[in-house]
Amino acid sequence: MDHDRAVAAHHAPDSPLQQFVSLSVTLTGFDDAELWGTGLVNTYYALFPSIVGDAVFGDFMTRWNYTHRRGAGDASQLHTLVRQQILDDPDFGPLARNLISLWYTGQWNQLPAAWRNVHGAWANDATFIVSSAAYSEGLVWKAIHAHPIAAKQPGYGSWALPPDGEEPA
Amino acid sequence: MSKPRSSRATKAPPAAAAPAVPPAAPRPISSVHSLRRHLQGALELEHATIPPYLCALYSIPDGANVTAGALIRSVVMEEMLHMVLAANLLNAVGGTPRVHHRKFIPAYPTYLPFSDQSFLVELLPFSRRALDTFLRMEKPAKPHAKPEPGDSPTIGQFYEAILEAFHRLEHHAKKRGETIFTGPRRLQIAGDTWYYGGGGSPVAVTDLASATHAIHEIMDQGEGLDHGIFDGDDQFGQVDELAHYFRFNEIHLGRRYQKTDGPTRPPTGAELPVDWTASYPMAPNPKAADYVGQPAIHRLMVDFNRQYTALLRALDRAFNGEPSALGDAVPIMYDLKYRAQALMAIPSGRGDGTTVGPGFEFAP
Amino acid sequence: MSTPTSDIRHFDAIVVGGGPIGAHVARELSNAHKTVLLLEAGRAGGLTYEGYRSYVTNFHTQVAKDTNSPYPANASAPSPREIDLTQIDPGTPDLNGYQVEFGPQTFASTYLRQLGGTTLHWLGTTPRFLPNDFQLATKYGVGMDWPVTYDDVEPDYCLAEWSIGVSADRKEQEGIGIPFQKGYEFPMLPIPASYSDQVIDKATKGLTVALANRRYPVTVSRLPQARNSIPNPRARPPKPDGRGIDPHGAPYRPVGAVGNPDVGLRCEGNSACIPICPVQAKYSALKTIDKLDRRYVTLEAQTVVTKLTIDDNGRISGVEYLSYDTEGGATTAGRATANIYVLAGHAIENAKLLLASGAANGSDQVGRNLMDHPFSSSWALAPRSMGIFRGPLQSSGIESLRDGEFRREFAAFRIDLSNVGWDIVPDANPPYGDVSRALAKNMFGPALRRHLGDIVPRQVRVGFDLEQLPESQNRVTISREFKDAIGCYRPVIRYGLSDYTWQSMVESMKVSRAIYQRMGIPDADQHYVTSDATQPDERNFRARDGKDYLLNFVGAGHHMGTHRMGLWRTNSVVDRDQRSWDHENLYVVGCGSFPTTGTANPTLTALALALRSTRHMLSQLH
Ligand SMILES: Cc1cc2nc3c(=O)[nH]c(=O)nc-3n(C[C@H](O)[C@H](O)[C@H](O)COP(=O)(O)OP(=O)(O)OC[C@H]3O[C@@H](n4cnc5c(N)ncnc54)[C@H](O)[C@@H]3O)c2cc1C
Ligand code: SF4
Repeated sequence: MDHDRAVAAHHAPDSPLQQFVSLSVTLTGFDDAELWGTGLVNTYYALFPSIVGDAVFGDFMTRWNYTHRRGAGDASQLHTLVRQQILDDPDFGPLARNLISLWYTGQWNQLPAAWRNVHGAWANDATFIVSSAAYSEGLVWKAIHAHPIAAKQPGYGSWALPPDGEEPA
Repeated sequence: MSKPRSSRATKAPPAAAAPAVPPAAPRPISSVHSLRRHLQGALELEHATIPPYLCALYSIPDGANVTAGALIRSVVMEEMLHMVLAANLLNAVGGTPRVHHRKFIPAYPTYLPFSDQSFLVELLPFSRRALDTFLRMEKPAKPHAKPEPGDSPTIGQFYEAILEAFHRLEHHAKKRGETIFTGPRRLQIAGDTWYYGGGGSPVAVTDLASATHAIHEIMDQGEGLDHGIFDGDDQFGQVDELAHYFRFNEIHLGRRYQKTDGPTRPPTGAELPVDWTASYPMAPNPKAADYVGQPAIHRLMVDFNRQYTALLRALDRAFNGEPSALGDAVPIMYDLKYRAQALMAIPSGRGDGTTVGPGFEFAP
Repeated sequence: MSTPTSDIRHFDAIVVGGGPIGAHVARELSNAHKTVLLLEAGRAGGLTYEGYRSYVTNFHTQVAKDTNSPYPANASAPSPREIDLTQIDPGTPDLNGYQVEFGPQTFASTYLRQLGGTTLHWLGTTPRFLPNDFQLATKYGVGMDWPVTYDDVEPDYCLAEWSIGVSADRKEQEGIGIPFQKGYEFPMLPIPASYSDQVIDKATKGLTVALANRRYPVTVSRLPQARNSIPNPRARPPKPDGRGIDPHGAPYRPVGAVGNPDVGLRCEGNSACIPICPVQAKYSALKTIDKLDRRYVTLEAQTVVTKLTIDDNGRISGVEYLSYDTEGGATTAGRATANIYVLAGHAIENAKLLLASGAANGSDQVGRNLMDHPFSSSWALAPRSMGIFRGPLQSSGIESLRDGEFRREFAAFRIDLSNVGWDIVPDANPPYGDVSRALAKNMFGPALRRHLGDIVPRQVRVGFDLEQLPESQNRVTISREFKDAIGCYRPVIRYGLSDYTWQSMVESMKVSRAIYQRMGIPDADQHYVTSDATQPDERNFRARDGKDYLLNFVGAGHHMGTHRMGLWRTNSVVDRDQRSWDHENLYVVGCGSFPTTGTANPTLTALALALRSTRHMLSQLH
């Protein structure tokens, strides 16, 4: 396991990895403990530049740091800035959506044609599911209060119980 | 199960780790009352082994150490079965199994309940250190060791004493035209209705014969049948299974036993590949309180503890007249696993490369 | 009695196909100490626990998660896949994939050619047919009667249910009109109804609907399912011939995963029954194959049977096959002989093989009367969470509309309640589709998380397994034009629905609407058809009310009718024992033998018929 390095990096405040995690927290709506709990922080942190290259990834993180600093301390201000500076941005929006998609589904989606027209086509930029673990840890299943299909089975009879927050039928 | 034990419960445990030691048992087991106390102790003892085994099991990432994981899992399944059997024994003699209370869960690191306190049991990830402890926990008694209700060096002898007491007390009762088996039949959990997934089926305890059977089941799976390496469990066409000590020894030595092997010599069977580095580096003996400064982690720790406590609540109901509550325990068990695995992937923040882990603390 | 040996190439019986039907035939014959050669076209994967698990992880990483996605593709024994289907243009065949389709509607059902057969990815719902399903012509003047009655088959239903392990409640099944012999109990207690089932059940209490001017109750009941549940402690097994209960027999013991018997002893709610049950709590034929007595059964996988040869007396004289090492690679031809021959290769493949051999077709019915349960859905958004994506894909159904006078006019239906929301709703693809749609709206952060947590668990889908009548133009044929990589015929399919079924689809919407109204779902949140959907089977239909409906459906995977059984050799391929009218030592078994479809998922009935036939086979082998 490559934990030592990861953990050391984790604790350097404002380390690139830490910035990646804080961006992920902002984009996904899951806190950093939940993200680390998937065991995939390092995987996704390494995956991103391996698909779009260090320079594009670096620009993306720079944009996030800038946005993050401007919005620091004011959640609604940050939210607005993230939308304007990142999601609505033709260069960074597709990257942000792909990062969310990774976290929510374990799937990298091929970047849209418009993005590729500008930034070029990258060899590894195809639609694929990163790994069995990435599939199973997809946050969408947590968001919908379920378990991933064909993984993390909840056990006999669990489906008869009321879902979170509902009364028995 | 065979764990060294002694009644020297007065020896001070390490601070902050008060084990859930029941009041020192009088010796010998002279009354049904005392027998019940011993059986409640047996429940606590069986339970105390489960969190350490689960930590080791859950710390193994998917796809790694497959055989070692399967061996640990099989031991856990049997410890759970032993809890059910201990509850059946206790219910049979009119006692009340209590598993949902603060004292029931030891605070790790802990001496095992009833132990001679020669070693501490910790919550550790899969590692050589964890395996060393497991081996000490399950060490078999010497052949022909005498039953010891009070200060026996192994739990095998502790169960021998319980068995002896069952026979003696029932014999005396019979003479008076009575029986010690006064508990209601409906409290017994039996068959594969609610218990499944390995380890065998629990038997109902209603008389001396079934009590003897249940105690033997616990002893054989733990320490081996008549001091061989196998547990003598060939019901349902299961292949002979090794007693717990020997299963752990296989992992420890990286080699399987074969039929012709005996208890005093190392295994000579096929190699069992073990990758000691393939486990989450969970910091030992996690506690929710350690993470109050990291609220996101703390919340997950507390959530885990709540679920664990919910599991004990379900077991308490199951042991007290509602066997179907064992069914409720199953989804909780699964949920605990996923939560524990997530905790073990989170850096602890200690800067030493360790990760968080499940605390197994009482949180009603 | 024969001596068990595997060297000679002559056997008491040759069974073609290692799916549930072939496995059961092989088991029954070998248990009677007959030598059996079991030939399987696909690979023998899944007989080790690790091998099976590899399909599960493979499934996790497949982007398109269709029914065959966990299983490695095999060019030497190809299978149809949903992802190959396209809308058929009139007049131009769809050549994509394995199946050649001429339409007018797409035949959108799949099967799987690998050891274990289609039960690797089946759902495992196992209702019995209703007594009237066997007598459609007599009772309602449509379709055709079966050459056997419900009572003839009842003992074998019991045997089949104990063989594959069915979880259900006798009383509940009696309530929907299914009779049982005295003392019979299902081996396991019913799988618990999901929370969403319970919500729908509660909402529809006392609900009735009018079909062809009569009212029928809409009653939710738990489905009989071949997945492990709590063994029924009171149940005792049927006697070996299925007639009567063995009072001294032991209660049922659930069968766990092949190679890991402690796993899968209960359904654990993986919600993945189709396409793969990760813990093998769901029955698959692998469980039967794993236990075959190999002293009598020779199993040869990667062996595609290509032809039956016929001697001058009209008896089958042998099978010819091609075996291969690598998928799509070179093949070796081989031949084997036996006293009797049993085709159990699936309704489509059986018909293909008969046609390729010029066998059993004196009636000209081989390959004709292809039927399915066309499956149409409605879907809605409930006002509150239904707790979906938990549990088996389905746990309850509405069985009260499976029979009635309306069958004179239009098809009956069995209603499935989905536990996975809008799973097969066109383009919905939950929950992934929901994520994509939210991302397209630039949602992110807590708002995204809340949004998904709100909309997905409220998804409701109600599905209708519709009856379909036998029609001779719906058929599978072969043509020298269309062959696969090893030179075997690809199935060529012509398929369409008649008004009997289309009208029923319109009626089914009434039922949906009544259910949704009871659930308090506003009209705007109810969905029946989508005009912009690119579904293969879309069609504009003018119903009896004079209105036009844009209808579509998908396949249920229930291929039936292609070698139907009957009372007369002039209009059927096999007799009541599933023996070919034309060749006395040939049996053709499976759902292809069904004269009509009823509304029940077919496999249990096919198993019961197969068990029944094995007694006839054994009498021949004596
Ligand atoms: C998505 C889906 C869901 C389903 N759900 C249900 C359900 O819930 N309930 C239900 O009752 N039914 C269900 N079914 C139908 C069910 O799977 C089939 O009825 C059943 O598997 C048929 O059994 P069989 O043995 O006749 O054919 P198969 O299971 O298809 O097995 C046939 C075997 O024969 C082999 N074979 C084929 N051709 C040759 C050849 N030429 N030579 C050698 N071997 C050959 C194949 O490789 C295969 O292994 C479902 C089907 C699908 C597709
Ligand atoms: S719900 Fe899961 S465990 Fe149950 S049968 Fe389906 S896939 Fe298997």
